[in-house]
Amino acid sequence: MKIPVMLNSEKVILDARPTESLLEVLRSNGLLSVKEGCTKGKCGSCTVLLDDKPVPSCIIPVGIVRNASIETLEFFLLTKEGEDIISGFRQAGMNMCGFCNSSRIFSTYELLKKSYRPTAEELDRLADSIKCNCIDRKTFINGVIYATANRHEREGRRNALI
Amino acid sequence: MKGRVEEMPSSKTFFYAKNLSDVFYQMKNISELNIVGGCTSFVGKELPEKALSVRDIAELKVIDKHERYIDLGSALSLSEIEDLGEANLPKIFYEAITTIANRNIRNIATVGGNVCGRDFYNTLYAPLLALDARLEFMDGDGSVLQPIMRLEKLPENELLSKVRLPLEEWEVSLFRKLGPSESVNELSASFAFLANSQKNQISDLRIAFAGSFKFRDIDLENKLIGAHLPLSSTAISNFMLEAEDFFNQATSNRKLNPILRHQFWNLVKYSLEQLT
Amino acid sequence: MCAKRKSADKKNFVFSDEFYSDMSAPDMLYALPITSPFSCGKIRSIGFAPKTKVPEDCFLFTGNDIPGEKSVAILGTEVPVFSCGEISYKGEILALLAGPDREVLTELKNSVRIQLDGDELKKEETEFSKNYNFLSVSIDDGFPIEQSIISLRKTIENFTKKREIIARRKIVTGITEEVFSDPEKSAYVVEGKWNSRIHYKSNKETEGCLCYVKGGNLHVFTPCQWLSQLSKTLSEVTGFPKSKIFITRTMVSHKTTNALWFNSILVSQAAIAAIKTGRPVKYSLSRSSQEALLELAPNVQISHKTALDAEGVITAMEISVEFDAGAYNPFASEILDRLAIAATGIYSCRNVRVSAKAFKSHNPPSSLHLSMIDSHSFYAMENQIQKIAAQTGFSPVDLRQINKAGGAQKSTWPFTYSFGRSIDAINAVAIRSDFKRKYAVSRLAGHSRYEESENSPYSPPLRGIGMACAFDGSGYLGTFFEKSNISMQVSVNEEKKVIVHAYPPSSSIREIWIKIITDDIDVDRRSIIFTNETIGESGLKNDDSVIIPEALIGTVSVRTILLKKCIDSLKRKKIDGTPFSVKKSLPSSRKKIWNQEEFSGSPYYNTAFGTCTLELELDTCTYRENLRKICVIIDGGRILSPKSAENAVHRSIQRCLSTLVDDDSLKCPSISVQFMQSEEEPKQIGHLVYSILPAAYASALSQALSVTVDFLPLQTDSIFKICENLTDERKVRREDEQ
Repeated sequence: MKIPVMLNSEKVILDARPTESLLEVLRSNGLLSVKEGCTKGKCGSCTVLLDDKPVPSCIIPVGIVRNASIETLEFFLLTKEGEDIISGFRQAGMNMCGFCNSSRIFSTYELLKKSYRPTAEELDRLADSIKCNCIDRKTFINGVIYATANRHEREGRRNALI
Repeated sequence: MKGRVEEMPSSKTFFYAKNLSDVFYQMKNISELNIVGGCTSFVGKELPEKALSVRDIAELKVIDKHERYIDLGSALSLSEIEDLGEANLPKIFYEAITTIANRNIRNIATVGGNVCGRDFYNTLYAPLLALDARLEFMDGDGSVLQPIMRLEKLPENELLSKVRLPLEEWEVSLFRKLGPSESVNELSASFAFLANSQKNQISDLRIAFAGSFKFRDIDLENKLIGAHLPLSSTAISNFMLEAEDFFNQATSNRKLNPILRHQFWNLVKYSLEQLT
Repeated sequence: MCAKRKSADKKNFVFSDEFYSDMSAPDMLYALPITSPFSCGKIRSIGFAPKTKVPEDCFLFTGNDIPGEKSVAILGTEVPVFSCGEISYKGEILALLAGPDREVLTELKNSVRIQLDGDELKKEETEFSKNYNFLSVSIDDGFPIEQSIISLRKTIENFTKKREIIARRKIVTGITEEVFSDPEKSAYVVEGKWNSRIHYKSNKETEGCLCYVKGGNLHVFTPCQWLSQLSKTLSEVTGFPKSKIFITRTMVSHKTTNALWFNSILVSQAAIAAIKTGRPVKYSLSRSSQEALLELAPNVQISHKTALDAEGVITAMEISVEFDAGAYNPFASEILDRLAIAATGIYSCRNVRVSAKAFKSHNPPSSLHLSMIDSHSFYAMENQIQKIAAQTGFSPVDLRQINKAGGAQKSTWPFTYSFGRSIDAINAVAIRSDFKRKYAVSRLAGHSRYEESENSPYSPPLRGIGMACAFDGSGYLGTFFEKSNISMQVSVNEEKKVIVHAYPPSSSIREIWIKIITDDIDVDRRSIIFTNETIGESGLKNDDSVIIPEALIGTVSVRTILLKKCIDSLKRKKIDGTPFSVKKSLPSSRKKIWNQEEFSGSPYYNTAFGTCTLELELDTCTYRENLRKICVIIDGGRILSPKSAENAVHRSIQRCLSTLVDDDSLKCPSISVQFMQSEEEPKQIGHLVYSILPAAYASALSQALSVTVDFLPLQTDSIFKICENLTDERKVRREDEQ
């Protein structure tokens, strides 16, 4: 089946069975930042941006993403927002395991998109949502705070964090 | 207008539509067509043989807020509803949404999918029952707004187009999600309790429970309407006995895990104690 | 990502930071395992069902296709590559299906037929019937013949056959029988049976590999933790000499249980397919197979019988350890030794009898996480102490202080440990968590709580607080350690770069090592190079008759200590471009403190001590627990990187909390982690939490419920079932009283 999508800002036609998971289709197209984890949508290893929202690609049949916009980490990390986040994580000394990267990065992106200055509660909820144990909560939250600061700096608003 | 059909040899078939008319046309002409949204209900299960995706139908993603109610399109994702905020939704409904899976899944799961579960009454069902929500079902000829309380089973060949939530203020609003947090099994259920009072008397009371079965009984609720506050321990005990009877009657032909029974009774008791 | 090797690189072992599951090769085949649906039986044949249309480029490989040895010896245990004769456990891999399309393979898998020898099983049925007057199961009962006979055979096994003991360890000091029969010395006798089936699942990359043959060489890409065994196994199974086997160790995303040795079996299977087809083969276990074969809940039952005198001094302990090793277990002896050493926890008394046995069974091979084996013994011992406190009225804190090794009585236990500032740690955690007061209050409230909760809506919540202590030994001087020669070498080259010659550490340990180096030597972190060497290259002596898992040689803390010594020596020399090298080994006297034959002495290079308290409250509406506070205090010697250490402990706590209740992840709003100040050598602390938190949780729950919780993990309705049983018991008691 031919499924037209906007994949990493490029119009492509995915050739796949409509019931195949988006994860399988993306990996077979060489987008390996999308990892196969729990296959139940819980662990987040397969997270991609679908219409600018992080979703678990392992439970999404590719048939329903017709005409949608899909972004994977390969592309996202080249954007300004991706750079803010990955620098922030580096500043916090985060050593991600490689499997949960998409989950942490895209979830952080969603939070920063929604909230200019994430509250402690929002940060806690974000940390709770990440199931991988390769990094402890405090370090991850610090990474998100650094990412927020990077974003403020890029947008010309210094010291905007309390 | 025909939607496109993609057929694969010995495989499932997916259909698409551009608008509601398209949807109805295909529902009329294709037998055993299943309407799907985010497909999160099919995790670990087989997708239907014939599925029509309504993810992109704009008419099903409308949010319409009025003074006394809010209409939510059935193809809205749970996160889109969550992002409306607690101020714009009934508290109990908002609380229930935030307990569903994780944010990423809520970004793709739809409210229609949650309400139209076939083997199980999902998390939102108990709050919708308690709120006296209404569900709008449409076919090509028109629409019907049906109270969820009176819905015995999902109508065949009709599309759930929107969910209407009354926007009332409630003095006591309690929601609890039961069972394991990381999966859905026979121990999973949700409990909703709403109560209002006027001049120190209970003026409105709603108790709902949903999981592998659904429960809400107006006759039971009426037993406490008009009761004076604070409720005495005798009143609570008496009501508990009634609740036990009603619940047992409603579940008499079901093999129910005993913990669910006890959780229901305990939560009713706890909720009533909030009124004291 | 294409799997390529530079032609110039002739090393047989190479390390890569990529995931093997991201790799591919042109013309590659995928492989799926065909597993046994039965736990036992004799295989007559494996093949496709008649009239199955098998695509041309799909293949089925069984034991008959193995060019070399059909089974391999792993630490003396024979493990079949494919099961050919007797099936040993349900899920055992009998064959491998290979083809270019995974979807086609998944469908084709359903057409594979496994025929069992029904006559063999019927013979047993007849014998059993004769001896036990058992109504024989009719094979015409509507179920497939194999299922009837298999279920009967299970019954036969349960009732008739003695379990085969594959490893045994007995430790006896003093005379326990005398003490138990002396009323003065056994003023209190407490018995308990403890079962912890906690296991740590992971959602990361599943085990597997990519194999291909090129230019007469076998190339393998896999997250192997035991390179030498893999090389040996591949050579034996495929017939390729070791010099022609090139292994790239890809990213190891998690250290599961059986993966340590099972990886070589999986890779051998894929290698056979690669050799026979002449094409690259990629073999990845599915998530469900990974959980069934590699991430199993271990089955360890520990029974305690403890005698105390009137002052609360433990006078005798009888401990029985039973470990279901599954169908095979190359590490059965090692596991048993570790369970036995930790059986008495941090306590000592003059009269101890420990009897540890590992049994063979028709379950999938069980291999505990070798760094966390002791946690089962600590779980049992700490819960036993808590039970003693509950039954005798002694304070759990005092009980621990009195009976801790180095406490009131001189130890006759054959093992010696040093627990550093353990007394201070126990006191500190008790003060920090207000343990004594909360314990006393919960205990006082215990006997009347159910009656209260029924009568009054304002009854106090059911609360409990538990405590546990444990040690974490690093550098276990057991069989493997004895045969290895641990050393660390650091050199400086002409470009003033610091080169660390070592087996690759994890990323967090690597960071610690970099910090050690940059703290003491004026060098930029970018000038630090890790050579990532294997055993042979680093010059370690390795007796060919025993191949030691690299991951176990010189555990991280020992190597960290040696690295620190190397850097201390380097500090004294001037880094001016003159190349030089420093090598440090463990002093031979250090190894002599442990006698493996007599099984006595100091089993660890050093031991860290940890203690924790856990406070919880029960939600009597939903029968669930709400954790309120966790306090952890650790004496880990000199902490080289406090922030990393604290983060590591927090991570362990997070991970542990997700295993205590099935399908649920517990949360705790208040977690406090502290380290005791110490100038002692740095010690391993990474696994302490796994030894103390489950016991503290079970103890707290036991106090809240006023009944002993002796098993973990719980289900979401376990607390309800316990409460129901208690309610029934109370009803019966009331009826009796009336």
